[in-house]
Amino acid sequence: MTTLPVTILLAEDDDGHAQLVQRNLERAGLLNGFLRVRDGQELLDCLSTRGDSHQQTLDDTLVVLLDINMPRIDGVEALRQIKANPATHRIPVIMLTTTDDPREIDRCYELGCNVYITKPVEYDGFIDAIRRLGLFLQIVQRPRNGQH
Amino acid sequence: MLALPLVYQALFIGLLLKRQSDLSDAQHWAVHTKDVIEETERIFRLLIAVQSDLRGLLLTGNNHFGEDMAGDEKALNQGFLALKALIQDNPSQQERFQRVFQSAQARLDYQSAVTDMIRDRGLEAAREEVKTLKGRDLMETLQRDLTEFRAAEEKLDSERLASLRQSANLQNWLLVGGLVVNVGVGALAAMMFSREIISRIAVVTGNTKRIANGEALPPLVSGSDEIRELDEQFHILADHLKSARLRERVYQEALERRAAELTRANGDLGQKNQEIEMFVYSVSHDLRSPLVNLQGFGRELGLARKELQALLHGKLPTADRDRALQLAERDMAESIHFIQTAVTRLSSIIDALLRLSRAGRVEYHPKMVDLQPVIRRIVEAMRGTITARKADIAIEDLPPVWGDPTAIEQIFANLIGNAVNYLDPQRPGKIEIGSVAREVEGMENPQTFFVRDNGLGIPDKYLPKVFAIFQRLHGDVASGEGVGLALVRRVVERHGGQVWVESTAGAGSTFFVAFPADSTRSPLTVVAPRKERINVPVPIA
Repeated sequence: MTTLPVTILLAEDDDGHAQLVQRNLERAGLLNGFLRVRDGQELLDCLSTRGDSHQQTLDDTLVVLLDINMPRIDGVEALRQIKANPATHRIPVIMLTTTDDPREIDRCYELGCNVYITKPVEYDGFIDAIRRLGLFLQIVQRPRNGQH
Repeated sequence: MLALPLVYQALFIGLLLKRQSDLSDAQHWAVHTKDVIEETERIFRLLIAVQSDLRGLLLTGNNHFGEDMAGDEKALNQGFLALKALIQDNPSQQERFQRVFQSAQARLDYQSAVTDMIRDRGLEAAREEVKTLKGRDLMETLQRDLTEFRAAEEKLDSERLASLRQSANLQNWLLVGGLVVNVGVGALAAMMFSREIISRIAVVTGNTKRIANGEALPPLVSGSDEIRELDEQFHILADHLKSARLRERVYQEALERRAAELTRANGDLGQKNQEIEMFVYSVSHDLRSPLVNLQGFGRELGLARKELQALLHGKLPTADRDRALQLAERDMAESIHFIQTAVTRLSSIIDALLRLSRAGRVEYHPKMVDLQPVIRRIVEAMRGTITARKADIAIEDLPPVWGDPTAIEQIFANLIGNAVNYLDPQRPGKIEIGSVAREVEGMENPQTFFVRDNGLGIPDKYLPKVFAIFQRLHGDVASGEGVGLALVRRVVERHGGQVWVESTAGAGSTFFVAFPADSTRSPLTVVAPRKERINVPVPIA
């Protein structure tokens, strides 16, 4: 499988979910660089510190996977801040959550999320979602890489 | 006002009657004058006759003439009597009559003297006497006086006629003028009368408008006629309307009160509905979260088992053995761990849900609860954590409160537990429990308690979510299901109270609980479980 020069930044408070995402990304060959934070605050901190030193390459190599239901700063608020900040608004954000409430989905798309994936209880569905995520990442990343 | 034309009418009729009587007077006087003149003529003729009789006697000596003369003299005397009677009302004519009468008497005396002479001295002597013309002079005097009398009477007649004509003229003018004035006064009276009626009717008409506009009415119109009666009816109507309006306002206010209560009840229902929605959302979200793990790691286990099975069926070289060991020790152990954790978590979430659900249904046994021992018991039970956090707990004097002892202990246990759990590890913890006087909307003299900490605090934007189920701000600081404060609110509300929080992020939080002042204001009764109902007071109409 293709290995992409992509760093995946996962914000997820549930260890199990994080582990499942990580394993499946690994199995799909997408786990080039993987970083996990536990809530929105940690994610924003992480983005701002990384952004200072790797501004040039960060946008092109980073994808954020965001859970919604997190303590402190939740996923929706983190999404809003990422998209409102000129330094980070180009980073692709994938909402990954257990909620399939259409209002929540609409809200996330309004705020500028790139993909919204409902964490499926069905494991096959989850894998499928992760695979589609992998394809998406390939599509997203290639033209960017071509620019270098 | 109305009397004026009537008085005038009476005057007018009086004038007419006066004129009538004047006319008949005038006619009477005209006839009277004619009588006087006629009588004068007769007297004159008789005087001539007497003179002729004397002349006849003197010429012939025949005594016939003497007899005639005596008869004529007698008639003459009667004539004078009649004339005297006729002119009794007129002093100036009486004077003239007196002169005429004297002249006539003188003449008649002379005649009788001549007659005596004829009888005593013979005709010739008498003739000689007559030749002296004394008789003729006397006759002329008499004629002159008589003529004067007659002229005076005729003048009087013409004067009376002129005066009559003048007075008739004047009366005619008076009649015409009177008629004009009468019509004028009548018209004026009618006008004033109608104007007065119009102005009073205008007042009454205005009153109908005032009634329609709900304004106050002026005093009743003057008079005692139908207009007054009508105005009285309008005043009665206005009074009825006024009281009806008052009643209407009472109803209106009652209605508005009820509407406000309904709005409030509706708001409560809306809030409850939102809570339920939130609850469903949380359940779907939070229950699915462990399920994702259960399914995911179950599948992981399955995959690992398949791979392990394949490995075990092979020859198992070193690399494969290492992989098998890795699967069993790492992957499978990890999956099992997560499955167990997820199951535990699901179970605790379901327990929490059951607790919350029970908090809404459990039957309370309210009484006056002394809070002091309750709080001491709670603090004692948490002594270990409190000591570990190096926290200092201060308990003020607390008034007793009306409620279910177990439920109240649950409330304070949760609040104090939260305060302890979310202390800031960077500084020594300080927790205060006390009572405070606070205005609370919708409550009368509430009994308000507080639990204050100097812990992590809550940012403003999370304050509204604090009492919602499954909301956990500091997920990493303490374990829990995010049900505690939702439970507290539920229990407090069942006690007819309110709970709220004031907090500054990084400085600490103060949770307030307000209970009804006493049992009479509490929805909890000692007897049967309370039945939910919206109390809408019915106004006394």
